[in-house]
Amino acid sequence: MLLLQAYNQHANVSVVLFFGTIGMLALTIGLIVFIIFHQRKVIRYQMTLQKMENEQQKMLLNASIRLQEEERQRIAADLHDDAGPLLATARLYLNENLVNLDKTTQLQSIYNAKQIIDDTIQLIRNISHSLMPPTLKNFGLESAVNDTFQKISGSGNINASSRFHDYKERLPIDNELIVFRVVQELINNILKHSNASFIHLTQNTNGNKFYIRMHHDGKGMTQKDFEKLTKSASGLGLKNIQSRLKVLQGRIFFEKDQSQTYYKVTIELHREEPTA
Amino acid sequence: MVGYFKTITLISLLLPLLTFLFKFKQNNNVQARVIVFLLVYSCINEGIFQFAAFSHLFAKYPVLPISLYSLFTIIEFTLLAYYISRSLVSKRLITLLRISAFVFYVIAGTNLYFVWFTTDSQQIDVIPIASSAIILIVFSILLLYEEIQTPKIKFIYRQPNFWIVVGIMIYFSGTFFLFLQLSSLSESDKVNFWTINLICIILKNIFFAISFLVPGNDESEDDLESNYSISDFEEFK
Repeated sequence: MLLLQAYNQHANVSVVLFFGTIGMLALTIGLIVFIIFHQRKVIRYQMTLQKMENEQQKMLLNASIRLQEEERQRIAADLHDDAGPLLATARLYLNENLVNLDKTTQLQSIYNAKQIIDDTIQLIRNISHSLMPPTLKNFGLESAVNDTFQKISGSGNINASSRFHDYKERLPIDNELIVFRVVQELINNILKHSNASFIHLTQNTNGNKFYIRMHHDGKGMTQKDFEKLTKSASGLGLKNIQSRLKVLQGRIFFEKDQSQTYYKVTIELHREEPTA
Repeated sequence: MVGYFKTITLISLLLPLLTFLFKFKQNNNVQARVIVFLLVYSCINEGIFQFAAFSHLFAKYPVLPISLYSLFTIIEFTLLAYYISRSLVSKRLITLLRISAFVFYVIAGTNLYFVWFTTDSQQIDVIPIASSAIILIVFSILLLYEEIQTPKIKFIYRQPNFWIVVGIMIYFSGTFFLFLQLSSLSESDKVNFWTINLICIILKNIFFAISFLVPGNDESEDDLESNYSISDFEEFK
């Protein structure tokens, strides 16, 4: 009996040892395999994210290159189609002076040439202003935006108003120009697509954050629409907004007002702390 | 059968040492040297055992084998715990490992006291082995967890650390029950089940050898685009 018990005890120990070892090894191998696959999954996810980000950056870069090209083409067309013929005509009038010795005719052609040169100067000034609005350069974003809104309101088609609540300290000029271009693009979109009867712009700051918010009562879009359009081949203007704000590390948010009557666009920028 | 495995085990000890020498430039760091030191010590310990058995020293000094085993457990634990603590980043985990190591040394010291000064314990040092196995397995898991948490863009199995830790985990989890139950086994079972220990040592040595073969932590390689392409992952979707 004792021998049998001893034999059973040894058999039990062997079974525990055998299955215990198998179990421990299975657990360890399972854990190692799990860790390998989990890490592969994480890396795959990171890669997909990075790929998406690269594609987005590529699209933004293309949009900004296209914008630059369009701007250059516009300036080239303005110079070629308007300034070129005007200067050629002025040259013709001045040439006439060399041929025609009649004093009255000479005076008339000089006067005409002067008129044409004045027009050309105005034209070049307009081109220059479209590149860098003088109001923005001299008086800042607040004046430039107010000026733009006054002009829109003056057309009588839409009621446009703007109010800067806290803009004592100007942003750097380059940043002001970027914000102004974004505002211009947004206004352009509202005028073109929304059929709104009013646009209202407000500016605020909160700590080191700078906000510009625009309301309008037309057909607007939400953040979802914005993200969809910036990822699609169309929506060049929106892509430009995004790439411009990326330079400032800013954000833009499109939403429908809680009252469901207005659409809101909020631009958020980080204001740099003045260095001591 | 056991004799056959014993020979392979002895040969397998040379495998990581040779790969270390073969890739010496790549593995010329503290962590690799710690593992090499452990392997060299294992060889020396085996030599001492063979010499003591050949010279009948075990019959003369009955506490000699158990003392050698206990010393091996302490040195093996010290080196592997040092390896893990060097690989860990979290200071909290390193402190925890140090506390665990202290607990282990207390257990191992008490065990040695009983071996040398009382006649109660003439068996293999079960408790120190079990406690060292638990501590090393737990901290190996924590080390792997920490590795996959840090956003290193490198597959874990392309790092030497991973293979060392796999070797430690496989060896200690495979031999855990064996050492725990060894004192309850009959002499014939001891001989038969000792094969598990030998197989685990062979596996451990193979994994250590792999660790010396895989390229080290070169920061320039940690570039997502240059290392992998999205197609590498297609099969795992």
